[in-house]
Amino acid sequence: VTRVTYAHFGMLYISIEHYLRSLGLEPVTPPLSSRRTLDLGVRHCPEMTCAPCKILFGNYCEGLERGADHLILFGGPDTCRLGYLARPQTERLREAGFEFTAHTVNPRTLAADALRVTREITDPSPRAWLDGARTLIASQTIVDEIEQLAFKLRPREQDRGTATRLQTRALEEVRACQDRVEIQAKREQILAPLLSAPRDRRRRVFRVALVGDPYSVSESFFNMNLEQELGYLGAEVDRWFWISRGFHLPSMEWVVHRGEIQARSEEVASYLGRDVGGFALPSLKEAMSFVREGVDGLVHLAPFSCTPEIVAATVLPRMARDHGVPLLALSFDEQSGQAGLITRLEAFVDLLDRRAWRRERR
Amino acid sequence: MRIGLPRALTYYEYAPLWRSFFEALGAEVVVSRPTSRATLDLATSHATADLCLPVKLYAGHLLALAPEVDLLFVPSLRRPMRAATHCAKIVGLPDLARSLVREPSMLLAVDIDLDKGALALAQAVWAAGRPLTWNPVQIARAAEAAWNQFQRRPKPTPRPAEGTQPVLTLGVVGHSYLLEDTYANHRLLDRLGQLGARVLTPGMLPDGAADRCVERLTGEAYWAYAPSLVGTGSCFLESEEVDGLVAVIAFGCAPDSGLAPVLAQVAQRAGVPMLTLTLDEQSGEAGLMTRLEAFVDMVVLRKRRGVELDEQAPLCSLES
Repeated sequence: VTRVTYAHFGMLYISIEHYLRSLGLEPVTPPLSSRRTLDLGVRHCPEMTCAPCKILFGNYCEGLERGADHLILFGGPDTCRLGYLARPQTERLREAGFEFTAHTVNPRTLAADALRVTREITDPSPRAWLDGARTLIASQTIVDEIEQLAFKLRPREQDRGTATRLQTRALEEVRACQDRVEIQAKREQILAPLLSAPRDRRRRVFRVALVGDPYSVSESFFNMNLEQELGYLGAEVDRWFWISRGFHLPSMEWVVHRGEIQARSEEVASYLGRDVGGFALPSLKEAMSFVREGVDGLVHLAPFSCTPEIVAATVLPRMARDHGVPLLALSFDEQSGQAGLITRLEAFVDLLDRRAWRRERR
Repeated sequence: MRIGLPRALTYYEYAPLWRSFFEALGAEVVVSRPTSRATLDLATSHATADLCLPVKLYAGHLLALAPEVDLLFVPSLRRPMRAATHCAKIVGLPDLARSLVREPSMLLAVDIDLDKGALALAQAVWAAGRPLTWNPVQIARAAEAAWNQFQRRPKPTPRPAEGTQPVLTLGVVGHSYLLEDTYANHRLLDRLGQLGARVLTPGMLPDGAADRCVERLTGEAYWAYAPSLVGTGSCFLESEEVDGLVAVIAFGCAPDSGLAPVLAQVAQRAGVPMLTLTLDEQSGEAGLMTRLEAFVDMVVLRKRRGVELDEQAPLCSLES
């Protein structure tokens, strides 16, 4: 059996596992990112690469340690350093003694590259293709739904930790499903506890949107459980990047919301007029949607010294000021002290609270 | 009409081209004064904290120049070669500028991407000349004349050491905006001269030599900066003219973070010592001087003894 390993990106590993299994491949999921993962990256990557690159490298190492023949790396042309690093990282892994076939996926063209890489690894029949794609979509959709429900529940939960507990259990249930049919059959049953958990209706809840680099936004090891901490402080979190949203037919979205999308693009263009690479432009567009929907606060996340996101971080304050939305900009590196982060989050939520109180008094 | 060129980033590479283009169209070209403490202070009080030193300095020059001119020329350079790309900050320069300058209407932003073909380039040139004249023929002529003149610009010559015979030859590699901004690099080239070094810089290589070195080393360049850092460095090493390499990089620079280690590897294989200097906005010079002196001493000592650096040994071990 062909054994395939890949890096962690939020909860993506669950749907990748389902996808590879449906194609008759064996997924080798590396252990969840830990201190050791980061240490491996720090030891073997150049000093000034960004922290996500180091964590990804640690994931590759830990996946290959479990005995995989194929490695899927992030890379490919862009203005971000990740693209350049795919080649040296592959060389470094080979020097370390791992034997594997490398496949590069550009995060900006995820769907097309996923098809290409699948064809590089195996040659499925059209029927298997279709089944694989439908499995991937079904699995990722329910995973994203679970996370979204947990975001909604967390600020309203009666016992602290309920949302996290239910989310973990639901994700485990999804992961245990054998195939698409089982996921679809168990759907209601998996989501029910998150929907029916008791809620404290008296708490004041703020809507906070996370924008910025997709890795920082999705990977809770890297952003130090920021979503959870914000939830405990009474914020209903939403993030701009959901993988399952990429499955919606873009043309359909365009037909339904054409006017809105155009207006939003034009307004964003007055802040960021060109695609500077990475996810700066799509993230800003979503930030603009959140602002138009009337979100209470924006949090911008980026790895320290991230090139595309620094451009976004420079124009975002102006956008937030023009629309009167409070903005908290955070950049993350290898340091893992959480106290400073929590202080800043508390101060931010206090600010939102004060604003809401003033608005009510008026 | 007065057009302002901030003395930072791509200015150091393309200034003669832009200057002759705008002057041919009858504009008065105003360049910001060389970087000083005031430039940096202006930048740090307005620009995002996480930006790298060169982009901060650009912000400082831009803000210092804004009151003196009618238009500020802020180009967005994406791909100066076929595939290799500039960093996102240089691509997004007009957007960065727009969030700094009070009146965005005074920015003359032009998108240059050679990968998009001749038509896009012609449109960019037209956009650049448009505020000065309606006449496309005049713009085309000015552009062609400026380009021809730019191609014939004189090459810099090796900087001789001060005093008597040079003791050693050092190759200093890095982006032109770090090597030529004497405030940002703390007069690095002069200091090396004072220490007795003859200094070679990227501009002294024949056209295209650095590109070919990159291609031989890592295949097609990913970053547009690869020639000035990795390419030039390995050219110097191949010519066996240099006794040591000094790589000047900016703190937090994405391209440099990947390129400098590649060059360090090449230098190690060639058995030539390399010093990596990382520049940020700190202004203390004592630490820099100590490092330069120690490096030069080490290179001189090695040269006198004819010591070959062991391939496995670290680049700057105490034994060598």
